Amino acid sequence: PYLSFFARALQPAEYLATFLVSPNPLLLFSVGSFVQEHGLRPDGRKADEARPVTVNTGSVSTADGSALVRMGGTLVTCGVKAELSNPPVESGDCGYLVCNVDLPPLCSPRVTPGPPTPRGQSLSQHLQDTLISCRCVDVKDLIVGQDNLCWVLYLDVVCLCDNGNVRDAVFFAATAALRNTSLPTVDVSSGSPEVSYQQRHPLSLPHLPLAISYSLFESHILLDPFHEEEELSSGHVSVVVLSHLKMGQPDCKLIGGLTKSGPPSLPSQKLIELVHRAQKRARLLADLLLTASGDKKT
Amino acid sequence: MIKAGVLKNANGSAYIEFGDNKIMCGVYGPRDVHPKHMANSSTGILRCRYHMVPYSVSERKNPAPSRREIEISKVIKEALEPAVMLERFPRTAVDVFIEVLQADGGSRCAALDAASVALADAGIPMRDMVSACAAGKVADTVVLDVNNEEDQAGQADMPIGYMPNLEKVTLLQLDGIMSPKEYKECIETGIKGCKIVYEIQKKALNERYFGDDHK
Repeated sequence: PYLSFFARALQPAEYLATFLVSPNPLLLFSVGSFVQEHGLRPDGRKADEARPVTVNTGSVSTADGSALVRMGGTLVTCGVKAELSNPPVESGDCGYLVCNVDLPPLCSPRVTPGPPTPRGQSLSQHLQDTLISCRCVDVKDLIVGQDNLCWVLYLDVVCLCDNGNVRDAVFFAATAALRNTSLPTVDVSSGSPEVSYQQRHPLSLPHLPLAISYSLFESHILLDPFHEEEELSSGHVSVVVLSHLKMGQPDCKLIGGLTKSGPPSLPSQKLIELVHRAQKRARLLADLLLTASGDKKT
Repeated sequence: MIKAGVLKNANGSAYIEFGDNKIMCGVYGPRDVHPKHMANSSTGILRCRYHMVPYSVSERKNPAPSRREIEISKVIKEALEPAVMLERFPRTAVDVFIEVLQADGGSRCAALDAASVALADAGIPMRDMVSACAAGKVADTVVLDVNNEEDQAGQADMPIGYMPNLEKVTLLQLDGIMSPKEYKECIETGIKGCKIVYEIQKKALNERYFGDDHK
């Protein structure tokens, strides 16, 4: 046996593989037995361990609802702004949502200034599709009076630091911001709408989406990948769990979405297992959100 | 309040709360210039992007860069250039990215303050810090640090960027009507404000590198 050291910058895939137990016999001899036995990732986590999460809500006063989420080094903020508008022609008697996820050049050395990249656009689309198809926001409740007036909710998510797993942070920030949102009351009795910004009421939110993502690196399934792991992984799995957060005891059973892309292919039993694990993790995140907003029943 | 070193990816970063302004700044550099034709063979280049998030103002702002943001980006870049020793890094770029999370008047000054701290946090050699503060005229009185309400109703707004040790002005803009006497008073008030901000910038860097909760 010989010792071979893989420089992180020059051979990142090999470097990452030396931490996880890899089927390649040459690599088994390159790092100490401690790492091989325990199968740890470069930041000391096991394959199904996530980074610490913190959430802070309501800090931006110009927004009707806001949240700041930190997952390890990834930092994402979301703001919700409500505006009065006319209901869309197709659906008539409800309000609507507009989601936008922005990945500015601030968040990563790999992002250059310019129009939204496919990555940002697909995150926006995923969030928008999930919130609408899973009926997370009660859009009928956004109707104001009888006169073709409704609220439109603009959800703007901005990633301030992309240290991996932006998708989970985006969903968590959007969920936290929606829970934090309050709408002003509108009085339509006198003909023209009168908005009173002081009297506010929260949104009607049947359930909210929480995304739990894994990346597939060689034969390993890594929960909450950080950016290097994400880049080196060929495949990804994302599970969206819908959480009912009202009662103080979160209920995270319904699945709101599942995507699996890239090699290697997984047996369906494995996917079911990942969904179970995602439900457990969603429960943890929901608990955290309730504690942060002071709604947790002890 | 300024906090340095808040972002993991950026080489240097700073977060500032100046009144109701909440601004995040990240600096990358010196790094390779893409596209290559923009590189300067004798000196590094400084690039700046000032951007406001849609929910930072009371009426939602479109995420696309507006003319005002592009103007402020240019102004901040020009205010930082005299301070940064770019000639030490030819053919490279130093990128300054500013995201305004909440704005309430004087955001270009707050952004400039955060950018200076972020540049220092990135270890980029500078001749001096750039401290910025706005002075203005509201109801015929010269005041320091005009907020949004005062700006809308007021008579003049003057952002000033100042290098406190070299005692040189790197940014000066004036919107409004003033007599020469008021103008002199306004500059002096503004510079006093800049010196106060400088102490806060130093404190932020001290805490980051010599503080008790040094990460």
